[in-house]
Amino acid sequence: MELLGHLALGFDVALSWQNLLLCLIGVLLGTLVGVLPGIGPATTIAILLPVTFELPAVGALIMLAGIYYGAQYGGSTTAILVNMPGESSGIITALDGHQMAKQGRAGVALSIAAIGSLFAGTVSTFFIAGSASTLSELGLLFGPAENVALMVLAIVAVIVMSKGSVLNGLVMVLIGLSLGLIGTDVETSKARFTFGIQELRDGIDFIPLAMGLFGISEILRTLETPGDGSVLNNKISGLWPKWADLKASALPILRGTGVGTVLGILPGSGTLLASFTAYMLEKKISRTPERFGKGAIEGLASPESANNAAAQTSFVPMLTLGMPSGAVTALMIGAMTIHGISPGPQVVTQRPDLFWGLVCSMWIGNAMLLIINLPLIAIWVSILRIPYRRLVPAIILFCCIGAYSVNNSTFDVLVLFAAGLFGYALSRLDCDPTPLLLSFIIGPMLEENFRRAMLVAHGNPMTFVEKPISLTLLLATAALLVVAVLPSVRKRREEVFVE
Amino acid sequence: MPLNRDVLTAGLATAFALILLAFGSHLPAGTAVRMGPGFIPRAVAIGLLAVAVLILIKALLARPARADDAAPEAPIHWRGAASISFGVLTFALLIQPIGLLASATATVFFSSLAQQGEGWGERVVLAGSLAAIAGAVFAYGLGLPLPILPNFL
Repeated sequence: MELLGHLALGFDVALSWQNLLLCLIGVLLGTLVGVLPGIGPATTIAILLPVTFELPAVGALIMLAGIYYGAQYGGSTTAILVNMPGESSGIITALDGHQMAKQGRAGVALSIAAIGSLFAGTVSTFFIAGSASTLSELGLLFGPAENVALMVLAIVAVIVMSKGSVLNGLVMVLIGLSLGLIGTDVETSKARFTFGIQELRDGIDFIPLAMGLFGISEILRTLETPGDGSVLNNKISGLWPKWADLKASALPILRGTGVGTVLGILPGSGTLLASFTAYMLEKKISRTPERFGKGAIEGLASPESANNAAAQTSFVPMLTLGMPSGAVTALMIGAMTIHGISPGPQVVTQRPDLFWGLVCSMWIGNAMLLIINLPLIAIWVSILRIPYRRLVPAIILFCCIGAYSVNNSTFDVLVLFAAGLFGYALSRLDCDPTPLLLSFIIGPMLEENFRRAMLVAHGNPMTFVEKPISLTLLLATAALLVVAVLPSVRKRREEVFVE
Repeated sequence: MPLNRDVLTAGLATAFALILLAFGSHLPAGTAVRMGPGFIPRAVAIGLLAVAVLILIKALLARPARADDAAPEAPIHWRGAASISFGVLTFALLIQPIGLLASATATVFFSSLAQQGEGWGERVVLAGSLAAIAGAVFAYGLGLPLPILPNFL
């Protein structure tokens, strides 16, 4: 039973009191920031990354994973209570969740969301544990050509799944690649696009970039919507669901978990596709579809479970192949690099403590959400009562200090400023910054692998279609791109983002 | 205004392409076997130009159909953008010479101007207390090597 041995090692790491504490702090901090209206998990992670600098690598990643789950849960809380989702998948949560809150069933909605998430988290933890070794063995077969094909697939998948048109997504990818070029060329040690600025020789740091693109620009975006302050009016009572509620949500939770686990692995799919599919599935098989959108508990339980399962299995490509599948995993890859771990299939074998410790702490993080976080709901709710105008300066200050403390350099604060304004401009142009950040992070790896693949193949570009794995990945990429621009799919895609 | 927005996006892509071409012209592109540091920058620049053209074509083709159903958009929040930018820049400028407490106070004060609805007194109190919290949490709590007080003290 190799699997049990791995899980034992993982729990051994994750249950050490330091890591347990870090996981708890992560979950609490993540919820604290994630509960703020309009701030999603990626933004939360970007804002909180500097907190994890001083920690050892394992602890830092465990804390970041905790922050992620906390942020997601915090986002659902805001979606349910005040109908202000922080990320796209929260929109689906808000559909029926907020209706339940309006009918005075906010407590039930919150606890069903947490229970569904814990169940989904448990299943997907086992799924990751079971599939990781196989996938990473497959990953070890990858040479430079296959890596290039995989990265292209990841980039295209993120374009397809992000907001705005495919062409805008392409622009974001290319700009991300351009920004990733800044710095010293690894092979020739030539400075590229540094404009004579000393600080740019090591390239732009991704933390101030991510904080600006997600954090500051999100705040500016939120400021556009008038009305502030007491977003929350109704009281929350009756936290624990009745037996009938549990019975009604059992099967939807099961179905949502299945949908989410599978869809989460797909590169770029993230959580939106999972929640949306789960919601649609529930609505389709329901005998009373007219209740959906009016506070149907199935319409909350299933997508919330799917959301969490997908959030978890989206770590699979990141952990086993070193390939980010969205903004969150891209940030995690960045964090790994800071701690001197080069992401890729070798992580499973070389750092089993890190890998299995992280997998197990994902489950612990989920359990903490239910046991510790849910009873604290009163505190999170009180945050929603703080007027937004007092939160904004606090978040800005936090971002400034975070950006500064990356290298103790003022230059990074300037990057934060520029990235914030740039991100705001991009959102005005209907461009989602996610593909930009993703290609910024994998751009240098892409270039290195591309140059190496061409060297190995004696300059023959056909190498990418002659190798079977690489060809398969590129065909999948092409299929994805074709499907995305097909008129019927495009219409559905727009519907998803409009809803 | 879908047309305008597309033109701006295409312009942004073109600007990046031109910067890549202009400031990367001295980088050797190398050969297909042994690529130089200038190969990928040129490829990215060409890609940007191509996408810019495609966006413009699409905008021209879609113009009559999309003119009406464009959703009305919230106006740009200049006040927020200006005061938050000012706040962040202040932090960058002041953190090293005068330390965390004073620069944080200034940053919070300026970024609080992003929104109306608060009196001057309240803003000052908010700035001071957030700066104190930041000092306690980051410098003492997390032990980050931040300058706390002005370095001439």
